[in-house]
Amino acid sequence: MIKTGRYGQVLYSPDGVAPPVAIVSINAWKASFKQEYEDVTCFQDVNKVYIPGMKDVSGSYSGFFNSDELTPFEAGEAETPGTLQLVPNTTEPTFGWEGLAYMDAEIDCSVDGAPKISGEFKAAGPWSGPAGFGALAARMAKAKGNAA
Amino acid sequence: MPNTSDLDRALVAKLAGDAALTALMPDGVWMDIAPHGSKRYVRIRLIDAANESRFGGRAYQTKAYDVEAVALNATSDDMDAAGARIEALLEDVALPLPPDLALMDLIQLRPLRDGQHDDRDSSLHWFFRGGRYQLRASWPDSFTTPQ
Repeated sequence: MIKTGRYGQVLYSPDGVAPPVAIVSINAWKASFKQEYEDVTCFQDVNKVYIPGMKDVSGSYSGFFNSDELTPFEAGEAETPGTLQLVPNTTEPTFGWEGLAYMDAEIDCSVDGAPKISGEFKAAGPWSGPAGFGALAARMAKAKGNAA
Repeated sequence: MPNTSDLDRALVAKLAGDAALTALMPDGVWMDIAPHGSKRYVRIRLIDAANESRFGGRAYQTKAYDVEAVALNATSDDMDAAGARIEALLEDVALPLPPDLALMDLIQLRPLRDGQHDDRDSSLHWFFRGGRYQLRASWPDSFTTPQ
């Protein structure tokens, strides 16, 4: 079903154990799961031929600076990756992407607008898409329960 | 849920609560239109408005108002003082807002000045003095989803 992006969400868990929490004041995210392809074209081929290599998971986010929400900047300082969840629409909470990621952040402040933040992320472990969304968070919750 | 009209009311309250401005413009401070017969008043008109969104709600709202002292008189006496008083009250000041809203800034975008002949008495003129002001206020961070 086609849904609006108005109810998108970016969630993050810095320690990979606690359940991810929504980062507030974010208004856009973008993720790429592009494959690398190796050119294996040979003599007599009538067109170029490729084989897939590794999938590269990375992306970006943006929003407004909110002094109550420093998670993006804290993530940018972290030496270990956190768990990142990207949800297109919270009315369909079982659809999304998640995985371990390194995040960074930058801020853009000018006289004629609210300070804006943006940043990028890169995978730091396997990522799952809509088919397996929530499994990572469930494993983390279980691990937290076992640790308690 | 905040009401966008709270921003309008906050502007009116700020100007109406000032004794110096009231002395210059005793017929009050009005949004859009003043009562019939008013001859010295402050008029506030919403000129433009825009919302900036975040996931799950509104991040902040920007509103532009024309705020003008309006007077029917033979001369423009006191209009400088009224315009200056409006500027002193609205330029880069703290504007009390309801708890759900947070003021980001309130600034003058440009000064305004105009004059028109009165239709019924050619010896009198309508004088206008003030400025266009931009008010920005942020909305609460609570995440909403459609019910």
